[in-house]
Formats: sequence, structure tokens, C-alpha cells
Amino acid sequence: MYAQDHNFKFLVLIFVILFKTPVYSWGFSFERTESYLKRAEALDLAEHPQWIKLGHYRKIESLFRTHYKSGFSAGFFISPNGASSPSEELTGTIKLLYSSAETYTSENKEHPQCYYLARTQWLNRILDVSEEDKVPCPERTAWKKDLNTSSVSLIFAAGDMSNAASTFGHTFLKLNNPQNQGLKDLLNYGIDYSADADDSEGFFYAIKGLFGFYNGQFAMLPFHQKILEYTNVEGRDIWEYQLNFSKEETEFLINHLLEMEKARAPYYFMDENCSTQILRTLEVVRPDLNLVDPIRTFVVPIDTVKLVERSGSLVQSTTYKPALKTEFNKTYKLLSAEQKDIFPDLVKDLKFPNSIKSKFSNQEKAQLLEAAAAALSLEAFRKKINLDDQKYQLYLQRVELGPGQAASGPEEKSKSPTKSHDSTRLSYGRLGDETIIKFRGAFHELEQPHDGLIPHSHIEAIAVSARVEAKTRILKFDRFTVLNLINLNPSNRLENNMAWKTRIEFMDRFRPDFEGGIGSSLSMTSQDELRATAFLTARYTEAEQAALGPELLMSYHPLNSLGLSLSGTYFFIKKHNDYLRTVFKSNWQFYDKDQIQLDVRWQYENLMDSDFKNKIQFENKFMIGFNFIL
Amino acid sequence: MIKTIIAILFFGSIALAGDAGCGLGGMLIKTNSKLMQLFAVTTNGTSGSQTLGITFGTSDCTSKGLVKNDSQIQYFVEVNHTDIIREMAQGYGDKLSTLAALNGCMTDKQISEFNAKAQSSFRTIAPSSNTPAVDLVNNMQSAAIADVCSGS
Repeated sequence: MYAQDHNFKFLVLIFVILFKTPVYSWGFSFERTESYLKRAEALDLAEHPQWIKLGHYRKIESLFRTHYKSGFSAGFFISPNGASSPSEELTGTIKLLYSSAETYTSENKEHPQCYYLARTQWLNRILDVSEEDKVPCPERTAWKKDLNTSSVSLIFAAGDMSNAASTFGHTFLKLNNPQNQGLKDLLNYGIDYSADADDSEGFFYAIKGLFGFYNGQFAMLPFHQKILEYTNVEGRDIWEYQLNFSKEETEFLINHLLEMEKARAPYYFMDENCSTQILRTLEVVRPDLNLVDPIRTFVVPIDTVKLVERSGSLVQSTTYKPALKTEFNKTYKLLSAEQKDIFPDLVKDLKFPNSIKSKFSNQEKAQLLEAAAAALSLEAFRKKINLDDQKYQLYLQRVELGPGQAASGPEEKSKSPTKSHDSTRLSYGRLGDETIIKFRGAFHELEQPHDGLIPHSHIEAIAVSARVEAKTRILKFDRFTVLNLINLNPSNRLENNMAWKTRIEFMDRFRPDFEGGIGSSLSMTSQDELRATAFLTARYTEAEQAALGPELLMSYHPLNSLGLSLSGTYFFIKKHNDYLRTVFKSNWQFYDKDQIQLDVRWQYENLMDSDFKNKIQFENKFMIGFNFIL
Repeated sequence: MIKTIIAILFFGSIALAGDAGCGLGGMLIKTNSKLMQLFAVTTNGTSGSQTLGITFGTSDCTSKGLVKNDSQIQYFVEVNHTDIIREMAQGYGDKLSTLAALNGCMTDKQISEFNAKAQSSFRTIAPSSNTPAVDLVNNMQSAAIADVCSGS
């Protein structure tokens, strides 16, 4: 018995050695590899769209030659010149994948075919690779089975209401496991392309980010962990666009993401950022998509989501996950006037005033306690302080009141960010008796339609205008805007927020026109159509030098297609008389389809001398502009 | 720095007690300051930086970048600790319902029963304001709130 058993074990061992190990050691043949190389050349695969997309190459066309360049610098290319030569990379890949038995040693346990899964999958098919040259990858297959992805969503974290600069948003992918459908959706995995940046480096963080000193890489986390910071701390709503990739396309995407695992590229905040690489990844799956235009130099995440949506058949459905702050705002709005009256006291004292206890029903008390707990949670996140004890006191009172449910009221009209106007703008019109042309790189002006964006905000970056002089008919440089931000984050009974603005512009001969202000903003109507803001504003120009004074700004959006603003600033100047600046601006989108808008702007600057007639400037501007994605 | 030391001592002591949870450090969230957001308008936050997938090592709750099946509840509670306590007190919420689903609840009725039982057992599950995630999970088991979904 014993001997038989022993023999059987020995046979099993032989069997295992024969059928497991040898596959990697004698499967390849030099002749076949040569034939693959010839076939690849005959099919011109080095220039094949699929190969170009797999390498995340950009096509650069100049007058004399066309060449390719990939942003990835480490951990991805096989050939030393791989990042700039798709054909050398292809040759290197074929040689490595189909003739590299010797590289499969004990210390490098993974065969290159198991690392370059998507490349292998595509080359196997297009080169009609012999079965003998295909390596099984049990470890990867098991991992993918655990991950179990059946569909992919593009996730967009929208702007944070308190910070105009965040309007650009963030994008990443979510891998959907069919077992996590419905309530377990939060357990799916999110994959983003992010920088290994450390913002504790302060100012250098911005500089290093602008010039690519950080490394970008793909990273994966459970979805609930990935969005926690966005939905709780930063108050960003999450929008999900489910993509209609087939099962095969989804598998190819996962294969590609796996082969990008060790890839690193310099991360540039402006262009080679999270959005660009996510778009390139989608292009790998559908090489005929052209989401990343080679000439695009500034990529705004929200634009990329729009491109995906407009590409036609890519987006299947859209869902929305409100941030804690959005939910709190909704709950708070639904409270009655009496409830709102005692709310600040409840948040402060953590109990109902004695006199008021019988006035409210249990349900009304529950609503108040829940809103107060949410308010404290938001405060704890915002100020990075621990309010657990305070919240716990509210919880104990809430628990006593028994089951409850989320406050329901009229559905807030949350517009998908993709419904916002496009970020680039070209406009043409009259400035006084001159012709004026203006180009704006990005993004949104205070008076423009703000559906899908942070209401009452202004984010303008890189804009140039030129005008044709009336007499000489010469085109002259008018104004260059580096940055112009207006953030009218409103204050209310619960929180004091700061409104602020900053503007960096240059006029002809590079004369500076800088302006900044801090103040406080109030929402004047229940639907937030009107905001009134008081600023203390400082301005620096060459003519007036430094000027300082109070400003009142009204921003009014009676309709989505119509926005108006009126501001008055009284500037005190040391050098000469004070002056009053009055500016009226309006924007009317009269043709929605192509986002064509009419802008009117009247600006008066009056010297405050005895007769008040001494105008130092009067501008009367009419412009027609249209918005698009560059 | 002090926070880090406290976190290390805190979780170190739990580890010595033999039940370390997932050791996510209570999710000390790293956020960009407003000023930095201004410049880094397009950067994704890199909190809990972790590379993609398979070559990533194995920890108490994860293996090759994926959360182990038997650690899903622990991991989820550690990450969403504060939200879960809040939702438990009010007896409803997305994350509490996710937790119900993780405990095997499927129908709407089961989920609302789970949520109601979690609320009525609140003092048992979260006896103090700073009940650690590991204790929350254990107390939920002792309170047997998932029984409403076991179908027995």
C-alpha cells in the first residue's frame, strides 16, 4: 500500500513538473518570434491606432516630421527609446513577450506576458500568435476574478461651493462589481491618476506641480474611501457617468490598468493631469475615440467629462451622490421658521431650551437633532477639530425618539455639471468706437449662465484681448488676464464665510492692473438668484498707484440665460482725488444650442472733484461671444 | 507629528491586545488647504496613497490591493466611522444601509429592520463618544443586530 502511494505521489510530481514549469522554459521558438516581427512590420502595427493608444503616445506634427511622445518616463516602456519610438517599443515588446524564457527566473516570478496583459491580448490576436507562445497567468486571472468588474463608470467630483477654484473638479474611474449593485455600490473600487505630491511643501507645491516635478501614477482605493474626503470634507457632490463598455472592453481596460501599475510620468497640474490620463485610458479601449486632442494644452476635468458625454454612445446613465453639506443644506431649508429659531442654540448648548420642549413633535425634534449633528460634523471636518463628545450628546437624545427618515421635500434642481457652458470663449464686439476681439482660455464669468457650476462665481484664467484702433486701423494689444477669481461664498446664521476676489491683469506695454478684495456675501432670495456682497477692495495701476476703498457688488441671475451684475467702488487715492468706479455687466445667452451670448458692459470711473464730471474713463462695450471646448 | 505618535500608540496598543482591525489609522484625512487648491485645481487628493493592485502587499485587511472578503465590514466601518455612528443614531442613511447589506440584509424590509435595531441598540454598540471601530464591529455582533436579516 505504502509503496503504491509513494509511486503515485512521484507520478504526480513528474506530471506537475512536465506540465507546469516547462511551458515557460521551452515554449518559444526563435523562428516564430522572427515571423511575428515580420508580420508586425507588414501590418505597419507601429503606427496602428491601438498601439499608439496603448503607449499613451501623443502625435506631434511639425513642418518637417511627425513624431510620437509619451509622458511616461519610468516603469512602462520596454525599449530604452520606447517613450519616443512606438516602432522600437513594438519590436522590443514582441521580442520580450515571445522569446524571453530566460527572463522568467525565480526572482522575477511574473512572465512579461502576465505583466503586459493588454499589449499581449492585442498582439496575440492581431499577430495570430501560436498557442505554444501563450503563457497562462493564473495569479492575474485570480486577481481579476476577485475584482470581478463588469462595467466602468467615470466619476466626477464637482466643485466645492466654498471655493471657486475647485470648479474645475476631479475625475476618476469606478470599477463596478455586479455583486455590489445597489446598496453595496460604495464597496466598488475607484482608480485615479494622481500625483505623489505633498502639499505640506506649501508654495513649492504649486511651482513643482506646474513644472512637472511630481510623479503621476495610477492608484486604487475602495470607492467609499476615495470619495470620503470629497463628500465630507470638501463638500463636493459626486456625479457618476456609467460607460457602456462591453464585457470584453471592460476586461481590456482592466488589463491595461494592470500593465500601467508601475508606470510613472511627470505630473503637470495644467495638462498631463488626472483627466488627460483617464481620457487616454478610455481611448485605449476605443482607439477610434479622440478625446485628447494633441494640440490641447490646458485640460479642464469638467471638459473631459463633457467630451466623453458628447462622444455619442459612451455614456449610458448618470447618477448623483450629494455631499454631506448638500444634504445638510437641503435638510436645513426644510425646517420651519420656529425650528430655525432655536437651531443655533441647539448646536451651541446641545439640548433643547426647557421652555420650548413641548412645542415640537417628536418628529420635529428628530429633524432638529439630525440637522444639528450634521452641522457639527461639517464643522469638525472643516476646522479639523474633534467634536465627538458634542455630537454624542445629540445622538443620545436622537436615539430616544425612535426611527425616522430623511426629510423629503421638493427635489433640488441639481444640474449635471456637463450641462454647464463650455469653458473656452471667443468674443467679438465694440468697445466705444473700436472693434475688440477677446479670447478666454477658461472658464466662467460671473454673469454667464451658472447651471451645473458654482453659482455666483467667476473663474477666468488666461484671457487676451486686442482692439482695432479707430483712426489708424491697427490691431493693438488690449489686455492680458492671468487670473481673475471672484468667490462669493455666502454667510448665514450658522457660518461666517469669507468672500474674496483677486485679479491679475496687464494692459498694453505690460502696465499692471491688479485688484484684490475680501468681504462678506449674503444670499438675498430663497432660490439664491441674488447675492449682495460688501468688499474692502484694493487696486494697483500705474496711473493711480495704490487705491483702497469699499465696494458693493450685486450679482443677479433671474434666469439661467440672463445674468446681471452691478458694482460700485469708492477708491481713496493718495496721489490725487478719490474716484468712484461703477460697473454694470450683463450676459444674455440668446442661442442655447451653440451657447452664443451677448455681453454688455458699462464702466464709469469718475473723479470725485467739485463737479463730478471729470471722467477718467468711460467704457461702453458690446460683445457677442460663443463658448466651446478647445 | 503628535497626532501620528498618538495614532501609533493607540493602534499599537490595540495590536498588542490582539485585535488590530485594519489599522487604517482612523483615516486621518489629508486635505488640500484652500490656497493650495487654488493652484492645484486639477490634482486628485492622494490620501491613503496606494498604488494599483496586484504587487501591493498584504496587510491585515487587504491582499494585493483588494479588501479581503472577511474584512469588508471592519474596513468599511474604520473608514466611515463617524458617518456610521451618526446614521445609527438617526436610524437611516446610505452608509448604515451599506452596512446592513454587508451583514446579509437584502430586502427593503430587512434593511429598515436592521437600521431600526442598530438605532435601538445604539448605547450598546457605541457606549461612548470615542468607541473605536473595532469595538463597534464587535458590539454589533454581540447586539446581534444582523439577526433580523439571517432569515431564521
